[in-house]
Amino acid sequence: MKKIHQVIIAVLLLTLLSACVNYNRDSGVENLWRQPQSFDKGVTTSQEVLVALGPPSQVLSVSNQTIYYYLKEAVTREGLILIIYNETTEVSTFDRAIFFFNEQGVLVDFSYSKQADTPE
Amino acid sequence: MTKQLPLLVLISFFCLLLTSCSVVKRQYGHVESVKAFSPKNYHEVLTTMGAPDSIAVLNDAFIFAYHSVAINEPQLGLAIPSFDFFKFTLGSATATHHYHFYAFSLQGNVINLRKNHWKNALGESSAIGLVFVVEETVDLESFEVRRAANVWGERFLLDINLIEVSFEDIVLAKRLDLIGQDY
Repeated sequence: MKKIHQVIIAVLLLTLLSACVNYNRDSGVENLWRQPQSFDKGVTTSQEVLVALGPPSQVLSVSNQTIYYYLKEAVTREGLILIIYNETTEVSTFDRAIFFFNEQGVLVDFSYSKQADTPE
Repeated sequence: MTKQLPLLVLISFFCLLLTSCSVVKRQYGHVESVKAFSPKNYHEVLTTMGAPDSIAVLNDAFIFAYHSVAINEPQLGLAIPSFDFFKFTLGSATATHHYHFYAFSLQGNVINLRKNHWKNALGESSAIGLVFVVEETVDLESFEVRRAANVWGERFLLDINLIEVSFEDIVLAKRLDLIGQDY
């Protein structure tokens, strides 16, 4: 009889067993644009942007402008395992910076991606 | 104690057969929620929306695209008799897209804009797996591709005779070519 009780308690504990899992990974360039930088429209040159941020992920030509596009992808995954109820959430964040230069290589405009406060 | 035994056995029995529920969520990117606005040029779009996910260049225009996808995959797990540590899982997934599109003339003035959001079913499927592992039942491989921006440089290392798009075509924007992320 005592053994049956032990088995029952073990089964009950097993059903209440819980665990958490998480991992993350990055790819792309380092998002140095999130550090304090001083880029000024009409003043900063493409050379200065390259020195500050390194080579861009992509370069594109639009009309007489050159575009530098920087991308860092970050993936985080979190999970809660309760056996009876489980939930995993994976969020891929694309941190981006874009710079427009005129024919003289002077910064015309630039922008960084807006970051979400919470997952949608 | 003897009277409580059947109750405990009954509870244990239900615990063993109890179905499990799982929710798998995925989020790709983020589109800033903004009030309706009427930008005149790409500078205003950059200020309000931030750097775009993708840029496309046409002969007489260029396009900014902002795109996010949220995937929700609820699952129902069923206990398999005689296989205590395995479960049979049924699941279905739905993707919710948010998409903003802005087209500009080569001078940078807005010529068209549109934003939209929609849902599409990604399918239903099933899987057999361990009870303490959340298996994905729907194939989401198409969302796991390497981002175009992160393989852009590598493409130029390929044999020029083998690649589909030449370096010159891309840089001089002689064809429609998306840069940034594609889904």
